[in-house]
Amino acid sequence: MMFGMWDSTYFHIGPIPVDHLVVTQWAIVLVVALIAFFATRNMQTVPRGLQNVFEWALEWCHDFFTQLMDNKDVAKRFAPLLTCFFIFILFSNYSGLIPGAAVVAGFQPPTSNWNVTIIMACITVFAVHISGFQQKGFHHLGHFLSPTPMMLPLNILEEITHPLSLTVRLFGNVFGEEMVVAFLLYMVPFVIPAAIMGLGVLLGAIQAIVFTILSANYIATATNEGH
Amino acid sequence: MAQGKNAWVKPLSTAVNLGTSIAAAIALPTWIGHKLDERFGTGMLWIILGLFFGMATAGKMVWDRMIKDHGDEVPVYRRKKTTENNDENSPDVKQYRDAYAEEDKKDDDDERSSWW
Repeated sequence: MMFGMWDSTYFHIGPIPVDHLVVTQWAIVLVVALIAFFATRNMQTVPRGLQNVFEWALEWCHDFFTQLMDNKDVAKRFAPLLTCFFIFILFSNYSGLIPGAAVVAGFQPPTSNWNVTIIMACITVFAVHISGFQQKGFHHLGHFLSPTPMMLPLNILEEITHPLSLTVRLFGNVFGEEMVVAFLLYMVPFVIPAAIMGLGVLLGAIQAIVFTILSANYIATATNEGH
Repeated sequence: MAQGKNAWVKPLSTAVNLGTSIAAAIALPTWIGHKLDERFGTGMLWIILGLFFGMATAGKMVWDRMIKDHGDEVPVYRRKKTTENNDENSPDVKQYRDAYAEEDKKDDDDERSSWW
C-alpha cells in the first residue's frame, strides 16, 4: 500500500475494478445532481428559493472568473469547468466531516487520495494547452522560449511544476487534516477533534478556492495576448 | 493591482501558490538528480545540479509573478515629489502623476467619506 492510496475494490464492471473512491465520488455527483435537479425543476422568470440561490451562485462564479481571467470570452468558456472543480472539491473536502468518514471501511474524502487530485490537475493542464492553442495556434508554444531560448529547460520544469503543486497541495492538506483528526480521536476523543474539524471547514473551502483560482490563473496566462 | 470586492483573491492565490510551487520546483529536479546518482553512481553530482536547476526555476517563477503583479508600478528610484521639481510637464513628473492619480483620487474619496 502506497501512502495515500487505499486498495479497497468493491466490485468489478467487466475487467474494470471499482473501488471505494469511485463510489464516494459517484455519491457526491449524485448529491450535486439532485440539488441541481430540484433547483431547476420549475424555473420561474422571477427566481425564488433554491433557483434564486443557484442563480446567485452562478452569477457570482461568472463575475469571479471574469475578474480573475480578464477576458470575458475565455471566462465564459471555462466557467463551467472551474465551477465544477470548485463544487466537487468543496463537497469532497466536506464529505470527510460526515460522521463515519475514515471510520467506516472505504468511506474517505476523495480528495484525500492523490489519484483524484492528480487527475483534476491533469484536466487543468489539458485545459491550459487546449485553450492556448485555440487562442494563439502554434504561437502558444512560443512561451517555452520566452524570454530567451536558453530558458527552455526552466520553462518546461515550470510547466511540470504547476500540476504537481496543484496535486500535492490539495492532497496534502486534506489527507493531513484527516490524519490529524483520526489520531486525535484515538488520543482525546472529546472537544479537541471537533476544533480541528472546525478548522477543516475553513481549510476545505480555502483549498477549493485556491485550486480553482490557480487553474483559472494558468488558463488566463495561456490565453493572455501578451504571453 | 486587483481592485474591487474580490481584491483579496489574487494575493491569497499568489501566497499559497508560490509556497508549494517553489517547493515542488526544487524537490522534483533534486529527486530526479538523486535517482540519476543512484543509477550512474556519480555521488552527489546530479543532486547538486538538480538543486541549482530547481532553485533557478523557482526564482524565475517568483520573478514572473512579481512582474505580473507589480510590473506597471513606477520604480522607487523614478518617483519624484512635485515640490522638488518645478517643471510640472517633465516626463518623470507626468509619469508619477499619471501612475498615482487614480490612487490619490481613491484616497481623497475615502477621506471625504470618513467625515460622516
